[in-house]
Amino acid sequence: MGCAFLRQSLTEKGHAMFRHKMRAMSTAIVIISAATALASETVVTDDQGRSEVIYDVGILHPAPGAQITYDYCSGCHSEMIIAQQGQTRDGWDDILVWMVEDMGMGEIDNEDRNMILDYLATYYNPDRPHFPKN
Amino acid sequence: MDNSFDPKTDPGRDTRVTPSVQETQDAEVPDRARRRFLGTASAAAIGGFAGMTVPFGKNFPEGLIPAAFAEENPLGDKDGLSLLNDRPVNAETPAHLLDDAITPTNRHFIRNNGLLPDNMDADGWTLTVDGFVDTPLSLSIQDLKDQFEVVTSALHIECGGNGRSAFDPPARGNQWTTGAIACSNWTGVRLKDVLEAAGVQSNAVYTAHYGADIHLSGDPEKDTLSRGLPIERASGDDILIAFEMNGGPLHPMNGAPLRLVVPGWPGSCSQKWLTRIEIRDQVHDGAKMTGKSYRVPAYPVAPGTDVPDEDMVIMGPMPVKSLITFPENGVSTGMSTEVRGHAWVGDKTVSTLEVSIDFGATWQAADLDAPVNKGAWQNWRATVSFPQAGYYEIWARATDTDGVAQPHAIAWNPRGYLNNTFHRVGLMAS
Repeated sequence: MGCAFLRQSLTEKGHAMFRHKMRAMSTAIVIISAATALASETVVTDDQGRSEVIYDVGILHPAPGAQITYDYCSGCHSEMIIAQQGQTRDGWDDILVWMVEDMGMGEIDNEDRNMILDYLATYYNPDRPHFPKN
Repeated sequence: MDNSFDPKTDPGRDTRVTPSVQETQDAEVPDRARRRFLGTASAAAIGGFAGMTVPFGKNFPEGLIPAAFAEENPLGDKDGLSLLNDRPVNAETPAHLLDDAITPTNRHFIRNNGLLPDNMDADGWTLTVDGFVDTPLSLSIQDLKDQFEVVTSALHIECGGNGRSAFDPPARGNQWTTGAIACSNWTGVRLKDVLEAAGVQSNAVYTAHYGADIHLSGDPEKDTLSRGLPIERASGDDILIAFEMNGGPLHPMNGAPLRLVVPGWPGSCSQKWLTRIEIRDQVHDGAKMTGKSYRVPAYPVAPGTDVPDEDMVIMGPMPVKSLITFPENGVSTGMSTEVRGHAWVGDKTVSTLEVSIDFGATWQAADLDAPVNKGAWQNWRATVSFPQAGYYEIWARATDTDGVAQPHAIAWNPRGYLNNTFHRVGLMAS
């Protein structure tokens, strides 16, 4: 979770999503960011040969696109709710629209948005290939 | 530091902690979220507080979590619940742990839309009743106890999305299986009595409920959830403004210190951490009243249909349903066994409960209790005998006083509500 915030602060990406002071989280973010230099890195590759470095994606399926998805979403809610879903790309698109229009998320950079949708529509599609097993 | 975290082999767990303190920390902080904090919180991290001085920071033990950030196990003292989501916390109760006639507090499911309020003290809590009333009220919990009759009732609450996980195509939201149902003893005052004291005006149409929980975005202007009831339903004598649960204080995850309990309607009508009830002269349009939230199509649709918002209607009473709480799914049993559970329906009563051991080909009547009071679920039991050793499924089917029975198949709807299909329990008989 920590590196998510560090990466956002470094890149300014997704900064607008934090326009609202998060009462419960704001100080926690600071403490996590301060220590993210310690975070480990893992290289993940998908079946099309694309590779990407991920840091911490919680329970999300570790694949290219997982980190940016985690970064944008986990500021406000756990990735556990993401991992339960099985949606088409259109279904995920609707959810992102709802997040921005109703739930207080900032506008999402278009390139990032496509990466997030690609990831979700691939690994959290209606066949639920990565439904959490508890 | 050990930086060996590999999400491919260890998906829910961050091992980035100093090895020498790992054992102690794991014992103290059982959940995944806290483990994540462990890897990062250190004396060095404390020093990273922007604009905050930590006078004794140099004494802070390596690896310890600053108490202010030490997240509790999200399930706390809840017993045996399955965690669906840890922020916001959502957890359901396995069917065999709902066997009690009255659900213990530590087995009542959790369905939260936001974060817990900063302050849940009963002292100083105020309930406001306003809108289209003759006399707006501002009541402490003591005022409620002093000015209105205090009653205790067994009342069932079921999440509108209970059973969503069986939808195909999947519907978005927490993927509840069967466990977002409970029937605890609630003590409080009747909503009806409080509304009468306020003097509901003749043009009143709907209630609007507000709670103190915090929106996930942290925006204090946003409500996590604000739903309401048609004024006719709000006038029912079975709805409580509750301040006790099973004889004790409300559980923080279940709305402490004050909540509504509206039996038989989607759980979201039973506002937790209740601060305000507004009487409106029109249908409420608060958070999760509109769009597709807690709404179903006005007409039957094929699974996967994209239904326009204007064709979605607000859900009313929950449909007839039942649960098998004994035996537990998947156990071995003798050639006969007792079967028992609960049955419920919104704003009506269940008239018959039947069980089948042959995949619904034949049914036998169970012994079904009357509700202990209006709004309670109904307990039932039967004894079934198996003709030969092998695999069986117990199915339960409730029928309400209008002759409406549980269906075999889901009436699919876009958001995955109102799944009242049969509960099935598999057994190996020998």
